[in-house]
Amino acid sequence: MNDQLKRVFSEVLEIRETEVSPDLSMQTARSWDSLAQLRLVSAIESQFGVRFTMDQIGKLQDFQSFSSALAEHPDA
Amino acid sequence: MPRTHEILDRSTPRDTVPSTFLELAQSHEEVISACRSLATADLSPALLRQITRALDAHPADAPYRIAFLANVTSEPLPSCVNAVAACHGIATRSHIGGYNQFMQEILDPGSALHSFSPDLVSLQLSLDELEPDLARRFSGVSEVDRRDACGRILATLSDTVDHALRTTTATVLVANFPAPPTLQMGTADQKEGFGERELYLHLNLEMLRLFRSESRVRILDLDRIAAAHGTSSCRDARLYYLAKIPWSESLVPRIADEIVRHIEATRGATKKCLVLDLDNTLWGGIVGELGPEGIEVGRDHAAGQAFFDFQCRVADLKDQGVVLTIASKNNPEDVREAFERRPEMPLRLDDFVTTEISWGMKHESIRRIAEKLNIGLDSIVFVDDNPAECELVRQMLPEVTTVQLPGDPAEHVRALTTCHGFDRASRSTEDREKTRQYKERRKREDGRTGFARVEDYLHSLRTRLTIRPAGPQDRERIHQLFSKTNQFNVTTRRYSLSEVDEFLREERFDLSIVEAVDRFGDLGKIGLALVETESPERARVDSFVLSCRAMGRGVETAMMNFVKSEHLDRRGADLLVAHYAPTPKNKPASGFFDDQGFTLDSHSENDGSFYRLDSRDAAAVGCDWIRVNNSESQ
Repeated sequence: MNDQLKRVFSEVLEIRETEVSPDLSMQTARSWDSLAQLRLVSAIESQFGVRFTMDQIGKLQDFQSFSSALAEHPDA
Repeated sequence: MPRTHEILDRSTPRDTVPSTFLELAQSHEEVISACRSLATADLSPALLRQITRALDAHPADAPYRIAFLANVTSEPLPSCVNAVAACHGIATRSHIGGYNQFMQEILDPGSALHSFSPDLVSLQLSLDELEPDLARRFSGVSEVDRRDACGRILATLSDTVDHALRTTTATVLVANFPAPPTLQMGTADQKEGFGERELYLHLNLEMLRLFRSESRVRILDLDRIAAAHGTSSCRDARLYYLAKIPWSESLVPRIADEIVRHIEATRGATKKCLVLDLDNTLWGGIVGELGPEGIEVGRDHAAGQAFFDFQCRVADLKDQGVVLTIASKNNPEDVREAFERRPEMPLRLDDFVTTEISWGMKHESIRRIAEKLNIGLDSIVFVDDNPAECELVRQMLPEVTTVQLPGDPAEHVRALTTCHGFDRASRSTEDREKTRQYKERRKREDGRTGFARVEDYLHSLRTRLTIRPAGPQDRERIHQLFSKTNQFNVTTRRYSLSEVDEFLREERFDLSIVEAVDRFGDLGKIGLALVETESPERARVDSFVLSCRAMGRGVETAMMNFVKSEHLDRRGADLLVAHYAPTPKNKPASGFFDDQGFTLDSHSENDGSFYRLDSRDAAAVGCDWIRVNNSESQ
């Protein structure tokens, strides 16, 4: 699942897959602004067939948190 | 970089090919050309992002400039509009106004809006922000206050638009208000004085009326777009609360599509010509196999009705000024017969300004149509049900917009109506007359272009005449020719119906009527010659009349050749006399008898010219481009 997730990150944030590390975050990735955040959410939701709550979206600020949110999601 | 048609493989899914090209694109033009081959109806978010990336990497030199002003978050609409526009071959650049600063941007001459110098200003004001109580506490607002709020909204729109018109040269595209999926007062709303439903209807109707006559203002019909998409999936509440984004991800491309339609319409990039296939496009089945009675079109069964409706839509486009043509692989005779023997079809062969019916390649046919009509390939839409033909045209003529019908006739109308290109800013009277104008120009220009000598042109008309003794069935038309023909009328004698009857009855009168057909169709009864046998030796041309629609191609010569042979050879007269009586209008006939070998006997200012032709001097004058059937009977 992480490989698939990395591909989405790389595509949406326009960075190489090798640059997508667990600690990649809104602070470290230049292209990860608040709109990119929403694009990421949409892309991951449609790719994995999940839906995050508004509260979750607010907290998903690095790769690691997306990865664990996905792992814990009942539909994923 | 290799060109599209060198790489395209039939088996490759269409949408994966452009994405490869997007990555390979080296210039803005190559990005646009890769985008153009995409069907924009279902652009995936991933593909949209890819197009946006490619456009960012290769910006256009002179893009169409769109400013987005809103009291909510405009993104991600602008980048989506750029991508959809690229798919329709239009280079755009966008400016996004500051959040809820639309009025400041418009009024401040030094604002980023004005230095951007937009061609289009998109104005989207959300009711949520303009009148929060209407959107949230509807039943708590009194009827009077609801009406006041409506008035305030319309005044704000009107002021904002007026300022934008004054301070920019842009077209202003102002969004209307999508009705909500559910009503705050539910089932009671319809009994409410100025209820929520009525309020939205009223607002949108008033907007329509407010801006209808202002050509620089257009309404973005969000109400309809949202309804078509499904109002309950228009909004993602999370996006709205988190980022004040008013629309769901799935609605944004729909809005972008509509904006691009308005851009195309205001730029005048409207398609002029529809090139249509016939078999399984205009009717079901193959006319060459089934015959005219076998093809499916009509109102008595399912498929026939679908093709009938498709033809109606095509006919409706014609009424909007789109010129119709045919490119079909068929025998021309079969096609003619189909149109003749199936009069219930909404389209007649006559509705098409030109046709290419042959077994040749379709792209060649389309190219010839463009040449004949003297229009660019980029103003042509080609419609065919055959995927191979569509692919050929896409590859050979990428400028042409190709619409591939899905094969299920039930879906054909939708395929045609979702196609871009027929949107125009507004409809003019001239649009309705387009087909007639093109037809007339086509006929005139046919001769002028490509023919070195006028005889070649006259030959190409393939005029065929039938010259025969007139009968009682012709009397009305004869009377009409006598009384209405002014130009080619040597004596301009206006005979009554009873005089016509006398000519038909009396042996000494020879009244011939002339019918003409040419490659463009039947011209009908276009001329007559009335000759009186005054004595066995002498015949007199009393009247010689040719309708103006048949002038200028030698019909009069063929008619006179007939008169000469009838009277000087067959009936054995020695002398044929004739008279030209000048009128203010019959100049075209003035030199006629001279040209036909007659000798001028006498001439006077008042009576005109009297001519004679002795049988020993008589000879037919050449006009071998006209074929004459002399028929005694009928």
